Amino acid sequence: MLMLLAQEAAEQPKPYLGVFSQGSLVDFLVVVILGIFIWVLVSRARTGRKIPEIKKIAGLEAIDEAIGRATEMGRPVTFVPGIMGVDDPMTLAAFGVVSHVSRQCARYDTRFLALECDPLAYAVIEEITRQAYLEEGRPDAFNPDDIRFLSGEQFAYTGAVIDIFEHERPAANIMFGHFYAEAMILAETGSFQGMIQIGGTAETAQLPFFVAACDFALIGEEIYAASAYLSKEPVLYGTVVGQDWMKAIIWVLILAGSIVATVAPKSTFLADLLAK
Amino acid sequence: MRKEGPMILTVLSALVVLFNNYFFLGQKWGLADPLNNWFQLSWGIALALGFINLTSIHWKYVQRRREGWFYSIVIMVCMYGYLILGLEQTHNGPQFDWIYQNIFTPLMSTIFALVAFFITSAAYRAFRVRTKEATVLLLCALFVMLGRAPIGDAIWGGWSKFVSNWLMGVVNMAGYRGIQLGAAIGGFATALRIMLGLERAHIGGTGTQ
Amino acid sequence: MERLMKIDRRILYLVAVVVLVLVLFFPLGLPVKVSDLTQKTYNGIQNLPDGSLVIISPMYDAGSQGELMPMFVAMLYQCAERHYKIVIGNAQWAMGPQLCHPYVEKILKEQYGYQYGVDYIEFGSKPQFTVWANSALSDFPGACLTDYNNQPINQFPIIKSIPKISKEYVAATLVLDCGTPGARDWLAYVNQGTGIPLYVGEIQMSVPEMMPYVASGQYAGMIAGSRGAAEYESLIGHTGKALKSQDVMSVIALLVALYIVLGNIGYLTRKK
Repeated sequence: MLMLLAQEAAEQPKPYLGVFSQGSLVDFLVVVILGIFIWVLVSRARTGRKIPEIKKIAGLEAIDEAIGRATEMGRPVTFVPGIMGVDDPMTLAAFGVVSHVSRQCARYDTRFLALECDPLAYAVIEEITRQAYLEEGRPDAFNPDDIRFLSGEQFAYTGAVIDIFEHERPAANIMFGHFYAEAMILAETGSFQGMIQIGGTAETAQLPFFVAACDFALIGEEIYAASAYLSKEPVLYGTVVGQDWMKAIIWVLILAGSIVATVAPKSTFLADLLAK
Repeated sequence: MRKEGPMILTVLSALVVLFNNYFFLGQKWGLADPLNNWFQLSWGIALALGFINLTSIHWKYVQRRREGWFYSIVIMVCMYGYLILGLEQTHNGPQFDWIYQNIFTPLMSTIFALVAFFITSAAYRAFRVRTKEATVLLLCALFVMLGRAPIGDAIWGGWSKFVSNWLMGVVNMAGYRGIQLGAAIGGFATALRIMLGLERAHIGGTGTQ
Repeated sequence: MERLMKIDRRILYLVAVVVLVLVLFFPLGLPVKVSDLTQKTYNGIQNLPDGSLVIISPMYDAGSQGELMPMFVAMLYQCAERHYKIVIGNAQWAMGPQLCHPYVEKILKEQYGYQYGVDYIEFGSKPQFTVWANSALSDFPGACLTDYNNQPINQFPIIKSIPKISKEYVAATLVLDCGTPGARDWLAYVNQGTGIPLYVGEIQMSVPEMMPYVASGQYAGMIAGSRGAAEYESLIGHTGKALKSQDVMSVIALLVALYIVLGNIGYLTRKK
């Protein structure tokens, strides 16, 4: 019995420093440091002190222009939030953009179509849009049938979106979120239809397709800055600056790693340290 | 409480998952396991909402005899028919599996195959020598495309080696590492913003507190 | 000449289809040179110890099976030739095991005389990769519970060879990846912690994205796209769909290059 218990105890992974799971200390420190940076900058923003500006992002500036174009042409604006679920950070970033776009569409009385692949994302986007119309004083203009769950399957969803592009003929198509192979199909179909397209994703494999087929493309972390950029809230600007401070630390680590790899190629000190 | 309730729930859930991932005790107790199960359940419930939404929209199309209303009937028949078949037979049932293998799978492959043609037209339209950067992009695209096909090696024996060892292995990798690092930190920051209650778009807020 | 810039897309597609069909009937027979990366992957799998147990995880669906199925088939052939014990299954990609099952039966059972439950097993597709992986690291049978045919997995002798996923029991994981969850999740949750070598079969679209993992050694090897699959088939001496499709790849690559050149001729000679 004692031997069995000892064996079981030996087999259980041992905590690092008595507290952390193996291989998670550095991850945790990154979260804590980023949290501290964000908190410092948010506090600065709240007390009215100056926060560095975010550079102009053409794709985000173009969102309002795209909505304006659709309003003038009397055609809808479509929003495609990617195919992944609400547990994906890119989908969360897309929610910030949905909030802004739906608000603008409510303000200018432009039809807003949101096309979802994930049922939870559909539920969230419906609520965001309903709230946006309410806050703009246009609850009567909100049409729940314009917020559509099409299919949970990637290519069934793609086929449905293409059909909606053909039938509804939107003037502007905004694609923000986590995309896979359907990115090319949607972007190119939109291009056929002559709509102005803004595509943003941090899925690196799909970026070339957005760059090639969309009028404006947002690359990687630009989609995470979208919510801050569109809201123009200093508090959210502060979080974006916090990201950049974190990147600065990583630059230093990369530089240190390059020097160590050049000077002592067999050394695994830094790799072992970062793997803790 | 309409906005505060979901925010409190978000923060508490995030803290539980963080504790589970980073701390030994969290993993030992399996704190996040019930959350994972509830997430799956809520996905299923939301799927039912999605069903209702789809049915509502397509039923209206049929009632109004909108262009292509026949396809709305096809959608509803397929949707409910396959659901009932699946409930009756489970995923191993003969008819369920037959439809999956012989109708659904080829349809998915067909749509995916469209990507090849769309890439052709996108490349034709987008790769123009408008600027220096666009020219570099064009040349890289040509090199990689021909280098990844046997024709590249037939034209020049070292083509695929140049593409895979230098273009993909050095230039491309450096660029991708940079984008992935930035995107990873951005994802982190987005999650932290939501956890700290700074971002409230997902619960219908205007964005900040 | 300016019209070269505005060729109707339908003409581009029609020419592509005609060329594609012609090449299928009149193949060029261009040789496929094996790259260092594919050779390294092949050598890594080939040189595993005798009697090794490998996990092959088909993390894909019907959309990507054109590129990844030839890799899966080739991996099966290689592992069967070496008489490795094979465990096949995944999490969150329900279609993968279903698509692979006919090939598994045909190759392992019929051609190589593998016995189900003794020499190989299919555990199907389990929900939630992270939950399954965390559980399988300490209790593989408990994480899987049933096999592909919904039978209790504990009854099969091969399961005694893999009480948990660790370097002691598993010689390598071969993951065919086309999205999320995929090879990166295997790396994060399984291979990084256990030290089990990870060999990846990747769709061409995602190959540039995966190169950092190959360069850092986190992926022990990678079969890159359809070309990689063709190289791999030539190494194992089995002419499959990937090798047969390389002529089409070559011709389409030339055609797209021609389109790009035509478009640029039209662009450069346009009246400003």
